[in-house]
Amino acid sequence: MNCQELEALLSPYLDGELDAAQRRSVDEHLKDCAGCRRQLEDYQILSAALEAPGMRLAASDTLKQRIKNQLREADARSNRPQWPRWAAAAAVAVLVVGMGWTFLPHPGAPGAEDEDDVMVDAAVDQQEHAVTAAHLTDLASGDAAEVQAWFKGKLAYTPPVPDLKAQGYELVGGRLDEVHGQPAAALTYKHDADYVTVFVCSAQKPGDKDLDTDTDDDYHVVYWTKGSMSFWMISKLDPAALKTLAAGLQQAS
Amino acid sequence: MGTPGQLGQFEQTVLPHLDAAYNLARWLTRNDQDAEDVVQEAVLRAFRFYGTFQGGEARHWLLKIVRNTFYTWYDKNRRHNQTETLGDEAMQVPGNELGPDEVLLKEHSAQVVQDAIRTLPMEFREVLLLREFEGYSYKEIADIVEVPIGTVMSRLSRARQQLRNRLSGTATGVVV
Repeated sequence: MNCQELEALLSPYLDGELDAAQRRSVDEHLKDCAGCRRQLEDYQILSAALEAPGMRLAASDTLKQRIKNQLREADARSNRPQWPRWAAAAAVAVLVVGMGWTFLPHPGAPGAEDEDDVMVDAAVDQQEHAVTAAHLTDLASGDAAEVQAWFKGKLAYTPPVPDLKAQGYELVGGRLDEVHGQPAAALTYKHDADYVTVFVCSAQKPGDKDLDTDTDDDYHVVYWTKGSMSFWMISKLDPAALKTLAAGLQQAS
Repeated sequence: MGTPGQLGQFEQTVLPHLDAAYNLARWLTRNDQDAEDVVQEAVLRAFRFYGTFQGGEARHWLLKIVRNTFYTWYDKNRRHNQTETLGDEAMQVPGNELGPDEVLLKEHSAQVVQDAIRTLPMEFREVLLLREFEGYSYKEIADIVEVPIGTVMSRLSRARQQLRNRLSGTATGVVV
């Protein structure tokens, strides 16, 4: 073994990651080579230097406390019971009255667009959580009628659950979720390896509003309002395909 | 998420490793404010996905999340913050007065060693930290960093070589 070959083994030698045979050959080389011995010694000195006080940096008490507080908040949020529908309706009414009409965004007013952005962000966030936690559905079923029946009574409205098999989208199931603090039905469809989730929320401004699109964190979002419900369709699917599907769903719903 | 008692359990198993989480984030981001942001975000993420924690070593699990959170943060900020890609913080190691054959690592202050580590390329820095501070085996590091064990081994070797070069005042080539 020459010095160059040894150099590659010195680090794992120090870390106890070599097998007995490799260890022996390193030992043998080191016996006769002062240069490599010095290199090993330097590595050991370096390791020791990292043990010195001040090298390892600890979290401040402020940070620890802040994290604890945030965890409590997150925990309280996740344990919040599902409100009965009359309570949700009452809360909306109170909110509307409390805000006063002057603060309500009007269609076309600058505030309306910002509000869409907020909903898009929140919907994408929700979807990312669901994907990461591998919890896309509360009820896994490919039967549109069954999924729709399951939603009945759980929200202030019953979301349409269209069957999109003909378009190549298999229904995966539904879940109850929340978008920007308001309850939502989430329907998930699958097309090859791609998932498409549609959040159905209670519309902020009832009426019909045509498709709009946005992109956030690799997700494409197509959204529209129909009657008293707003729809937020989210996927990593290419935007054109998503828009076609959305247009189909818009008509079907 | 949301199972009663889960917060208590999380606090008991995961929060004892906040110092390790911060240490890793601090060495990766190289400043306190960013490290705090990364740790905070990582712990909240960990809590959200605590249900997916299969048991095993909580510190390992948390550090993996810290590292992933860091890279997400880093990718987002990369465009605005190019310090990492430039030859940043050009190190002023008072090593030039050493003779080329002398490797007097013992003489260096903690500050100088810190500076030398801070200027290592990120992929070398992280394996060195996980090995030296956390004492993880190559196999465990490979799992956290998501590279083969052989890659961990060569990165660690190069990290130590570079560190030694910097601290011995020879910018290129090891004098042996």
